[in-house]
Amino acid sequence: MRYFTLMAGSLLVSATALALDAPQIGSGASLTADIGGTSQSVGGKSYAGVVDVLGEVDGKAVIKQNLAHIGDASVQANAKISLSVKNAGVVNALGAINGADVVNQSISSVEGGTVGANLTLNTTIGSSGVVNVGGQIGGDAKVCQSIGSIGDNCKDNPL
Amino acid sequence: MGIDLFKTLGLSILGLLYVVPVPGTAAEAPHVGDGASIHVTIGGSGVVNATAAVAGYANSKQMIGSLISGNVGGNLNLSTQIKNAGVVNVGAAVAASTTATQAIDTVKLSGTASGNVTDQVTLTGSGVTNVGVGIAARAKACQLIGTIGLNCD
Repeated sequence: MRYFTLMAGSLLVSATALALDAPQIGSGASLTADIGGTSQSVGGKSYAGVVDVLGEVDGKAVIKQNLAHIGDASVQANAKISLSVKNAGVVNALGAINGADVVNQSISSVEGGTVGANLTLNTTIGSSGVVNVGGQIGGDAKVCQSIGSIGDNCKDNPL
Repeated sequence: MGIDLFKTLGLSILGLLYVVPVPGTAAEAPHVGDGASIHVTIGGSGVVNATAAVAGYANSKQMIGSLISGNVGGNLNLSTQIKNAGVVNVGAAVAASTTATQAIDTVKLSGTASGNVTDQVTLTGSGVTNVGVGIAARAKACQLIGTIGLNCD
């Protein structure tokens, strides 16, 4: 932790394989995430890092990184998601991906569920590195990255 | 090795991180009300989906500021600004039966918007690349920027 600073206003991880009911959110929901730092610096610049998986991934693993994200929820009107990444590194999987893996990085996005009127998604990425997979990819892997988007980028044949 | 690398780079590992060892449940396509607004600004940055080669039957999909699927029940406003930045879907070669798709500020696809759609893209001093090196065998590389519809049939 010598050089590091991470300021994460709030990170919402979407519903996972856990057996949870979809959340019900009222009007005016506001979700803000700031990734970056200013209190410590190296050579006049500050750094922050958010990494999901560092090493190699094999088998049928599912690797999902969601930042400022609405998964499968019911959200009423005037929801606002704001994400800022500055002077930071955000990585989902740094190593090689083999096998029938799903590697999904979704940032400032709405993946599913119902959202009322006047949804606002604001995303700012400045002087940063945002990477889904850093290593080689083989097998039947699906590698999906969505930033500031509506919908599920990782379903079969969305394009 | 990886941890050492990140220490060298001055990065720490914090946040909400998880690996799910079994396939997750797929959410239904979202339903969004009237007046949805999406703004993405990328400046002086590198946004990369896959840095290295993609082979086998893998699919690499990068979507930025886009309606991918689901329904918007009214007006939809999309705007994306990319300034002095590099946005890359696959940094190296794609081969075999892979598909590399990059969509920026795009309305597609299986989604619908019933009202007015405003779609604005600004690229200034930037490099937007779908596949950085070669393509071989039966690979498909599809790039959509400021587009309605799909081009990767």
